[in-house]
Amino acid sequence: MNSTQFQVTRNCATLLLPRDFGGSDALEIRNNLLESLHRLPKINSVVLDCSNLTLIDRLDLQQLLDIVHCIRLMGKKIGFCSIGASLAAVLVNLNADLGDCCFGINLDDTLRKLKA
Amino acid sequence: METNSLSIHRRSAEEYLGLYAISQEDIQELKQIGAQVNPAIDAMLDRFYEWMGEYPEMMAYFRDESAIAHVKKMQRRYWQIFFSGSIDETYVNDRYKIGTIHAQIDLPVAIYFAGINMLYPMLRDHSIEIAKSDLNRSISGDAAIKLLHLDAALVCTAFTDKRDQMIAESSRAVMEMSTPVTEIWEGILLLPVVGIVDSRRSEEIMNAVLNAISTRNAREFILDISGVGVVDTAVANYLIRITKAASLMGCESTISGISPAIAQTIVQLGIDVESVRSTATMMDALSKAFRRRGIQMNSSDALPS
Repeated sequence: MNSTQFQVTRNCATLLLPRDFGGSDALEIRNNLLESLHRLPKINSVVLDCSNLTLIDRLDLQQLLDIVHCIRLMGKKIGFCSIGASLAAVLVNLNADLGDCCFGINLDDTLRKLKA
Repeated sequence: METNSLSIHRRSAEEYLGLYAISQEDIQELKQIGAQVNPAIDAMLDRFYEWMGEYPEMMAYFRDESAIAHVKKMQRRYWQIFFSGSIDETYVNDRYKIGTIHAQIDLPVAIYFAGINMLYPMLRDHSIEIAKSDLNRSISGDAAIKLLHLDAALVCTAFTDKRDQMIAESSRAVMEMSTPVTEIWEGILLLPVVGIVDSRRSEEIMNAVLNAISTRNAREFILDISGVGVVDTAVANYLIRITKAASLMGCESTISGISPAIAQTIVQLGIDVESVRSTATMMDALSKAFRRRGIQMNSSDALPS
């Protein structure tokens, strides 16, 4: 995982999902993220930044949901930011179960909602 | 595409020649008739306009004498091309264009056919004259009929294509007007839906709403369906999905004005509405949206005069 994709601000880890999220890269992202969460216990929430992610298929969505479930199992809150119109439509059409996540129009909005 | 199937779509000139069984003999016959008819075209057209003069609804398409002169000139060209025997792509395009023009000026197909019906006997008479004048020639008149049918088919195809296009454009315009996603306050979008909502319209609404949220960075979205009488399973699901998708984009959504009938439909259909925020009226939805955005509304009565 590229170090620029993963930043920690105010005990919140922000992960910029790549445009071509999925496959073995998704697995690598998950491993690195979970390892970081384990190493940095102060991190209490994770924001997945979808600015670059415009579309996703069912298989890649499952990988994304796996990441979300793992983060949840590690007791962290999860937020999404910058989901575009096309991605939102796809997520709804694929019945993505993201029920207990926070959604913000941008990173600040998501951080604010996670804190609330 | 099967060449034998009668399709309304345009075909190549070669396909039309096969479909209407227009042979080289037919083309030769056309040219023979044309040699006789061409000098008489002006007289034929004069008779044609005399006949049209009896029908004011036909003459209404001509604003003045100059318009008639212009159309006569075009018709002269039309018949010259008809008898030239050159049935190629240019010919097909030319006839198709005529149909498009008819559709644009709203000329009923019945009038077009009436005109053809009036002109045909003149063509037939000329064919008979040719046959009489030279017994060695076998002029059946079939060639002219075949080509007239081809012309009529092309004109009708263009006419229906143009009409379809006009209907599609109108539908699109109506669809755009029927999804007026309005930013009623900074960051607050409102979409009042009125009338019948089907799956197609639901999809249009979804696209319009999500794009509006994205372009306007909206934080609140209110979908007012008090003007919607009934919804079916697919539409109810769509409406719920619209609000869910909006929420994924970080925009709080509310459905207002759910009628008792729609509420019962949603419940009976077992649609998951736990994540959907709803209010009885648009006023409630607006008031709650303002509150969430930290906007305070003061009644003018409370202001000092």
